[in-house]
This record gives sequence, structure tokens and C-alpha cells, in this order.
Amino acid sequence: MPGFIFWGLFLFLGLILVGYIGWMLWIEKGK
Amino acid sequence: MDMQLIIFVLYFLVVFLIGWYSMRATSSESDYWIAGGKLGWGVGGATMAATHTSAGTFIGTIGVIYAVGWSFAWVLLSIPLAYWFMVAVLAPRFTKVKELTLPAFLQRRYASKATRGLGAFIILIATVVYVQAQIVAGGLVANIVFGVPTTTGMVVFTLILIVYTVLGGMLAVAYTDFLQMVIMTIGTIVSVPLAVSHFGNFENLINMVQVVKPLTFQWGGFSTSLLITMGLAFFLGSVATPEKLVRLYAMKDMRTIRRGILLTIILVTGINLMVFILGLAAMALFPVLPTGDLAMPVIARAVLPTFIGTIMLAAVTSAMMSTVDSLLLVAGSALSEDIYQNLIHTNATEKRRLLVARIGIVIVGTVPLLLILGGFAKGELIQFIVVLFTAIMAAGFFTPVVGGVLWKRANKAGAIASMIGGVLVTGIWKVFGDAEIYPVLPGFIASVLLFVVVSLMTPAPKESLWKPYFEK
Repeated sequence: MPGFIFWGLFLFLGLILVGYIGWMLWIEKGK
Repeated sequence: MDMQLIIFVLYFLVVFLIGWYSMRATSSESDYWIAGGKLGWGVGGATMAATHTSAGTFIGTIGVIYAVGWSFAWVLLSIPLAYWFMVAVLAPRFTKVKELTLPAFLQRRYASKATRGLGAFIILIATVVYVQAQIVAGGLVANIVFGVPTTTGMVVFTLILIVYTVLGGMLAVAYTDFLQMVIMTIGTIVSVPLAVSHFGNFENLINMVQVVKPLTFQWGGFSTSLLITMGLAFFLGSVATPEKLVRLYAMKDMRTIRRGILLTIILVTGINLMVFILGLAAMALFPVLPTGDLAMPVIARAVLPTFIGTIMLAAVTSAMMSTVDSLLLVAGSALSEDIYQNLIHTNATEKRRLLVARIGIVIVGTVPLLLILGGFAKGELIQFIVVLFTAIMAAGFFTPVVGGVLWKRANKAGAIASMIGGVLVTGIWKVFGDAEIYPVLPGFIASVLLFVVVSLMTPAPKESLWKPYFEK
């Protein structure tokens, strides 16, 4: 199986998604 | 064949019903151009994603993966980041004052009819030619699916699009986009496991790709400078093209926008990833296609059962239609709202304005079709502008829009210089510049420099112009 070039993309996309959801919840909790 | 026909006729019937229903729900200009600013997160997010996903995703992107390998897939990272930037930085200020069109925002922020006219002009030129290319693609799909001549396909495809867009405006476009997004999602979710199961399991598919094309999973299959500058183009184009920005006006409030864009991010990245995997399947099965653009059609024919293959073609059609209808709406509003109502005939009644709006859509929809049928601007010129479309829109609008809500000092002269300079430099780079650098980078740098320098050299704008966008 290929290494980072393949799975790394999924890892970063996952991190962005988690980051976005976290940010969204944080913003709305603050209001 | 009959089954294919039935599926497509049913699909078009539903689309017409949506157009009809939306027309009955549309009573004002605001309803027509931005769905009254009342879209919820589900429809709002889906229409954003459907507008983003064009025939290019299913034909062009898969073709690039097929040709250069997985390193290109990393461009995808720029898309969710772009939407996050749009929601976190741009939208809270940009939607403080709701407009009907993007050029209307430019006029209010810069107190200048010229910026509005210029913005509308850029939109009109870029979209009319872009729509032309999509109509040609629509004709090709009709030819593959029904065996009708390409010209008949183009005419039918355009008429269907024009009818529902003219009738129902943004409401019709948003709801048909939702339907089209559902078809695209089903099409990809069903096809990918089928394509993978053809190889036994996912690991076999990957191993086979590595045997057939060993460079697929190596860095450098695609030049790094091109990868980064294309990522920038995707970023700027996702944030600042007018068909995306009006959708921020169409959604109810910031809470709706945050949820809607989360849906957009999931749909767009998910569909792209699945399309990339179909690209890998095409590599393993057909390593020597003459062009990567054939990857999707051959996969649909070779791996998928007829029924699923038809759904996949319906998905490609949906991707095309959901992008073109949004562009028609934006170009129509540029023509009738920004140019005609704002510059020529300024005091029409609401009823007349709605009529003019609909006439605008008919014009921007039929002109590209007539140009194709008349044999004008076929081939190279169209291809040229399609490649440039996002770059031109991004170089023309990103800086005056984002800069306008983030920088109080920005003024009319800076905005005009940045729009003209951005578009010109992008076009000139495309013709004469280094092909290793995607033209949006120099275009973007020129637009930012001109924006800042020209704004600082000319008098500061009145406080009343920037104040609404900076209020908490």
C-alpha cells in the first residue's frame, strides 16, 4: 500500500473537518 | 435504452415541477435573485456544493488524476480551507447588508456605479463563454445516452435549463440543485464500491495501479509550483466567485451559513475523493486511454451495470445543469439588475423589474446557444476561457470583496484598478507567461498590489461607506 502521499491527504481532510466542527460549536457556545 | 429514457424523462419532469412551484412562490425581486434570503442550511449547503461541482469534476478532474497520479489529489485540501475562510472571515461582514447581486455590493461599498458596471461586465463575458462550453458537453451526453444528434441534444438541454431558471429564479435553482446533488451523491456512492469490488478489494486495486503505473503514488508526478498555484486558484475561486457569494445572501443567517457550509465541505470533498478513486480504477483497467477525459465514460460502460451507469450519466448531467443554472442566474442578474435597472432604466415598478429579470435570463441563456449554432467561437477560444474562468473571476473579485470588508481605507479607485489589473494580468500571463505557474497567482498579486497602492494614493472613503460592514 502507498504511504503518506495517499493516507496523508485523508488525514489532513479529516483534521480540517474536525477543526471546522469544533470551531463552529465553539463560536455558537460563546454567543 | 428505454429504461435510460424513462429515467431522464422522469428527472426532467421533476425539474419542471420544481420550476413551476418556485414561480408561484416568487413575488418579488428579492425572491427571484436570492430566494428572499430565506434558504435553510440543507438546501443552502446543497446548492453551494452542486454549484461548485461541475461536469469538470466528473470529466476533467478524474482525467487529471488518471494522467498525472495521486499528487494532484492534494489540491483538494484548498477547498475546505477556502469555505472555512469564507464562513469565518468573509461572511459575517459581507452579509451585514444584504444585496441582490455581487456588483450591487461593490456599488454600495465603493459608492460607485462604475465598479458595479465593471463587475457585471466581467461576469457577463466570463459566464456566457463558460456556459457555451457546458452546453456543448450537454449535447455530447445526450448523444451518448439517447443517440440523438449532438445539436438536438444541445438545444433541448439549454431549453430545459432556461425554462426552469426563468420561471423560478433562485428558488428553482436551489431546489433543483438539491435534487441534482442527491443524484450526484447516489451516483458516486453506488459506483465506487462496484468499481472497487471489480478488483476484489481496495488493496488489490491499489496494488494493481502500482503495477500498471508505478509513478502514481510518487510526489512530482505533477509539478509542485503548479500544484500550489492551482491550489491557490481553487481557494480564491471557491471563496470569491459571484455565484458562490450570492448564496451567502440567499441563506437565512450566520448560523444557517455555518451549518450549510459544513454540508458543502462534506459533499464537495466526499464527491471529489470518490471521483479520484474512480480515476484509480480507470488507471488499473485501461492504462492507455488516449486522453484522461475518457476515464469516466469507459468506467461507466465497463464496470457499472446499465442501470447504475445511467444514474452515473444522470449525475454528470446534474453536475453540469446545477452549475449552469447558477451561472445563468448570476449572468442574468448582471444584465438586467446591475446594467439595465441600475444604469439605464432606474425607476421601474416591481412587476416590470421581475419581467426584465426573466428576459435577462432568456438572453444570457440563448446567446451562447446561438453562438454555438452559428459556428462562432467554437473550439479553442472556448477551451481557453473555460480554463481561465475561475482564474478571471477570482482575480477580478476576491480582492475588492474581501479587501472591502476587511480594510476601511479601501476606496473606489483601488477597487477599479484591482479588478481591471487582476483580470488583465491573468489573461496576459495565460498567453505569454510561464506555464509552470497557474495564471491566477500573478493575477492575484497584481490585484492586491493595485488595490492597496491605488487606494492609498487617492482620498480615503467616507466613514458611512465602510461602517456597516465593521459593526459588531
